[in-house]
Amino acid sequence: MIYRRRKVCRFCINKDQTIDYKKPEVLMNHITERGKIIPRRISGVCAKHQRMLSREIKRARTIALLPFTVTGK
Amino acid sequence: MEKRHYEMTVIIKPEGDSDATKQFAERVDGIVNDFNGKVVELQSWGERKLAYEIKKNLKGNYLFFDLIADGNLIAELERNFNIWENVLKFMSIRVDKKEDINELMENAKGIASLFEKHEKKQVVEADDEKKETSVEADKPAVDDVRKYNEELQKTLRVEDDKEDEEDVEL
Repeated sequence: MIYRRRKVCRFCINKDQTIDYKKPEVLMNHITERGKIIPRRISGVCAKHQRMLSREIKRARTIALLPFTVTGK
Repeated sequence: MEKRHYEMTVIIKPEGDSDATKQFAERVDGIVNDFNGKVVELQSWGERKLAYEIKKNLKGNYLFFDLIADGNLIAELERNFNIWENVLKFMSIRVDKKEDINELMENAKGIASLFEKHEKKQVVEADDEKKETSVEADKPAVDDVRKYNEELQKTLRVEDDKEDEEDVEL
């Protein structure tokens, strides 16, 4: 396996980047093409912000701003 | 019951024109007033594509209410939303903001804020040209985000292929 540099949480660096279900554009970067939430071991987001992300992604899903799942129809 | 700050997002059927939206807002406002609640702000997000089909609809008209309410009011609103046929889906969320609720109550704009917004939008459009210069300054940041996302998607594609295999140490 190739060694990967430990990424720093992008939300800790950019303080005015809010995590909010009303802003699906931000959350979109943290779901896969199939709609799954990206684990933080890959995105490098810190635990605190990952918790916020997962909460807000789930909220955005309930009001159809984000998909629960994307299937090739 | 204690007053709290809530956010309520409602998706209504898109076919209606702005009149339908207005009517809907007034209906909600009526209930809110009956229960001594207050609409702090009302936003229309307009017609949006839904991420998934809801009651056979692919598009929905989003309305966002910022409310000061108690539990009874929220329960009543939700009961009504379940009955009204033009409501596709809704979500209410309690906000634990630090702002004082009394202060919010006083500054409440009511449902009229929806129509204020429309006027503002036009002003923003006029301002767009001015903004372009500042957008250029932001470009490196945008590039960074794009690079970050591309990298992420690359790793993900590999991940998606493996799908159900156990965690791979990176």
